Formats: sequence, C-alpha cells, structure tokens
Amino acid sequence: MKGNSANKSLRQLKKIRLTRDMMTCAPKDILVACSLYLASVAICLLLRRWDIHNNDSYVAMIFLLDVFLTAFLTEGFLLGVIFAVLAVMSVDFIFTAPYWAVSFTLAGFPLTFLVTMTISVLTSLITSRAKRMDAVRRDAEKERAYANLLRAVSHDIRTPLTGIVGATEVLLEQEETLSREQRRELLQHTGEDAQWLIHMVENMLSITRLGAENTRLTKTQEPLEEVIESAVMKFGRRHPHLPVEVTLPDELLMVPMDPVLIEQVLTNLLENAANHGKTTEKILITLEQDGDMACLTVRDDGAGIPKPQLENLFESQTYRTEQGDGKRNMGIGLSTCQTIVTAHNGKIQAENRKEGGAKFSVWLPMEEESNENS
Amino acid sequence: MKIRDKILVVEDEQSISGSISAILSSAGYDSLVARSGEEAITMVTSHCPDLVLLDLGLPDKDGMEVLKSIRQWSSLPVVIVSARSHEREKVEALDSGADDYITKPFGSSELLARIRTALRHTRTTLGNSQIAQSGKFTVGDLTIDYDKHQVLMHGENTKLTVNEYKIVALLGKYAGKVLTYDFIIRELWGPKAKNDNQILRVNMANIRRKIEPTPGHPQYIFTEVGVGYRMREDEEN
Repeated sequence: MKGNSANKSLRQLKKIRLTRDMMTCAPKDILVACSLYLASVAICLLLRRWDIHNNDSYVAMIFLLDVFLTAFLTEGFLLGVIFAVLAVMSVDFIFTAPYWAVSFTLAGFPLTFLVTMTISVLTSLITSRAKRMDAVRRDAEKERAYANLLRAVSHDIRTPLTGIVGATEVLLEQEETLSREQRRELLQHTGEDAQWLIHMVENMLSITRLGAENTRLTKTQEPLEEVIESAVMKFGRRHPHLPVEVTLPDELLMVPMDPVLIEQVLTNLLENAANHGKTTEKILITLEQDGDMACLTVRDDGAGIPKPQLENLFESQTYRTEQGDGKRNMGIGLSTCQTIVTAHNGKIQAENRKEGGAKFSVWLPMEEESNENS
Repeated sequence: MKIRDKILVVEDEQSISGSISAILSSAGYDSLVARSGEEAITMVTSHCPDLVLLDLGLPDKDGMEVLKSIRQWSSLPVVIVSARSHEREKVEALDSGADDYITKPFGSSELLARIRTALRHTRTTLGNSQIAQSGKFTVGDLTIDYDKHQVLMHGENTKLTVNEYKIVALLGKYAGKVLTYDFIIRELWGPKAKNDNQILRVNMANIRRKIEPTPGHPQYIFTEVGVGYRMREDEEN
C-alpha cells in the first residue's frame, strides 16, 4: 500500500516536473533562439538587397528553418512557440509587401501561422522526449550498476554477520560450558569479522562519495607522500607483522585529489596484498614521477593474481570465487579503486611480477585538467 | 583515595556508550552518559566533568552546537567522535574549539591516548609542562630546544630553516594534539595569511626529509589526512 502511494506521488512529481521543464527557459537557450532569429532576419534582408525582383519565396523557407532549429536546440516549448510567433509576424511585417507594415490581409496567413506553430510544438515535443529517454536510459544503467553492487555487497556482508551472530549467541547461551580458550577464540573471530565489515563499509562510503550525480570531486593539492604515510600507518596497526617498505622521490609530488579517497585506494591495495597474496611477507610501495603523472606502485612477494582473474580484475562486481567464500572476494575493494582512480582521471593496472607476487600501479595526473566539463 | 577524572560520554547509541563506559572505568575514569545534546549541556553544568567525549551525530541537535554552547563559558577539554569521511566536520570542530578528535570506529588504546593527551593539555598552561620546566621538548631521539631555536636529532642540529623550525616548535608545544592546517598557518603567518596550505605542505616535506629516519614511516610528525598534523607524544609509539 505504502509503495503504491509512493508511486503515485512520484508520478505526480514527474508530471509537475514535466510541465515545469516545458515552460522554463535557460538563459543559454534564449541566446540561441535570439541569434537564430537575428541570423534569419539578416539573411533575408541580405537576399532582398541582392535580388530585388525575387518574389520573396525564400523568406518563408528560411523562417521555417529558424522555427525548426529553435525548437530543436532549446529546451521546452516556451521559446519555440514564442519565436514561432515572432517568425510569422516578421514574415508578415518585414518581408511581405507592403514592407515594414502589418498586413493581415494575406489569404495564406492563417495557414502559415498554423504550419509554423505545428512544426515548432511537434519538434519541441520530439526533442524533449528523446532527451528524456536518454536520461531514463542513463538512470537505468546507473541503477543497474548500483543494484549489482548492492547485491555483491549484501552477499559479502552476510558471511561475517552470520559469524558474529553465531559467536555471540554461543557466548551468551553456553557461557558456563565454554573453556577460556574457546571463548577467546570466538571473540577473536568476532573481532576479525567486524574488522572486515568496517573495511566493506569504508569502501561503500567511498563509492557513495563519488556516486551522487552532479557532485564533482572536491580536489585539493595534496602531497601524495602524506597520503601514503597515513595509509601505511593504519595498515601497520592492523598487520603489525607485515613490513611495508616505502620509496619516495626526493622532490615533493603534489597531486590534485580527494585525499580520503586516494588513501582508500592504497588501503585496498595493501589489504589486497596481505589477504590475497597468501604468502606475502613484504610489501613495497614506490612513488615516482612519470611524465606529467605521479606513479604509485604497490608490489608484494605473495602468490600473485591467478591468470583467469587478471583479465577483468577491476570490473569484478559480478565476479565470485569458486569457493564462494565472502572473505575471498576482492571484488568491491578493487572495483572501488578503479572507480576512484578513474574519477581522478588516472589509471590503474595490475600485473604479476616475474619474481613472483602481484604489482599494482596507479597513475594520477599532477595537473588539474583545465578543460574539464562540469 | 585517589580522585578519578570524570568523563562525560555524549552518545545516543547505547551499545557504543556502554562499551566506552566499560573501557573508561577499566582505565580508572568515572564515566557519565548523556544521550542527547540537551542532556549533554545540562550535565556539563551540573556535573562539571573533566572531559567531554562528544559524538557529532546526535538525535536532537548537531554536536557542533553542543560544542559551541559549551565553549561559550567553559574551556574544559572536548574530544570529538566523528565518522571517517567527514574531514570537513572534524576541521570545523577543531577550529571551533574542540581539543581533539577520534574517528569511528576506534580502538580502546587510541581512545585512551586521546583522552590522556586532552586532559594533560588542560592541566598545564603552556600546553606542555616539559617545555615550561626545561625549555626543551624531547621525544625519542628528537629534541626541540626552545631557547636556542634548534631541533636536534641524536643531539645534532638538523639545520631547519626558520619556518621549518617554527612549525616543529608549534607541533611540539601541542604534542599529541592534532593541529589543523589553518591553525598552523594562522599561528605562523598571522590571521591575514593567505589560506593556502601549499607552503606549509612543502615545508613539512622538507622537515620530514631532515628529521624522519625512514620515508613513509614517520616517527615524530604524523599526517591526519585532510585535517592536519600531529606530533608524537612520549607515551605513544
């Protein structure tokens, strides 16, 4: 029931929005319409000066084109209709004898009016419908992507949650019979599961931070080395026995970025090396300048990335491991990395090292692209 | 009997306030819990706690309002609890008078370290009693000599420039506390300084190259991404 009423109000909202869209006009559109109109007038005047004996037949054609283009290039009905009226008037006023005078005496006038109006309104309708269809399709694609993500995430969340619920139940109900070690072990697993959930949620937060339409990334100039340092320090707290070696260039690399998101990328790559490298004993991070990009590599000496997964490692929202174990899924982490790096106009690559282990490289542009469209 | 510090925990989620209270009492603090902003303000006036642990997401009003209303008449230490992705919120809270912040989810040792630091800083007027007594601040192998305006590593001068020294000196004065970029810039270059932290960042990179032994693993000055810098205190490592 609730869903129905929600649907209804949504439809109403859509209707209101549709009317509003149809009736409003943007300053840019007004400019477009005015220039088109003035251009038509100018062309007609020029043609008349050159070719005095012509019977003005081109005038109607040119203004018809003007009406059509105005309706096609502007949003909504309003401008199209206004300029259609203006065009008809102009044809009558300026270009039909007697010149520079209104003469509604022409027999064809009502017909001209009707034709131009119809063309204007229909063109507006068709273009706006096409635009709406485009928007709808884009929305649907985005929704599908979100739904995929949500499905993957819910599955991954369920595994540790089941563990936590199970452990706490056992602890509460069989408090007496459990040995000290058993209790400890249960609590330890619960803690690990909770840590995993935190990691998941951080990733989802990163995606929502990027996800909302029209919100552009707020980038600030940040030294990449500080972000590396912060990520490495937090990683060190979670994995105190896994050494991370950092190599920094002599000069300071400032990169326009959202530092929290780039830190997330690094955290994911580090966690990935620790959790999926299986035999990882050491992680190396290198930062260097590569042309006008800052290049960040994370190398480990673990088992490397299995060949079949290497191909679409980053588009792995739908990817599942054979074991079906939620914890083994690196999907969300790496696809988050990809999303974040792409939003920074950078690129990310994965490969296996000849010496064994995996190598992830991230390139980030050091200059903000000036011709970025908003 | 030892007088225990009283800490007011402002948190609407019962499971979280419960676990924080447990951590605090096992560390030797008395804890009080307020579940809403209104309650927090009343309890601050009636119980006079030694420190407030303030969650910014409260049911009845913005935690920032609570902070501001406390700051109108009291300078008691306030430690903010905030979610990770809200750096702007943290910066705003620090700039409107919060003493420190801790990011959810946090571990008990981190929480206790923040509380100890905040309590200590209110006890001494200079912010750091060590400096007041000896004119020096020492942590690990690093010594800041406030009389000679020098920073020493293993007893040797690190040859910082004037600005670099000023930054380190400021961080040392507030060791353990996070200082926002804006705060450091204001303290160093005055209130009219351009709010451009590029110079600060470049200076910091140079400082690091002079005093930190291993790149990427700082021992003395830590970055709080998107917020500011923090100098290590003796107890943490």
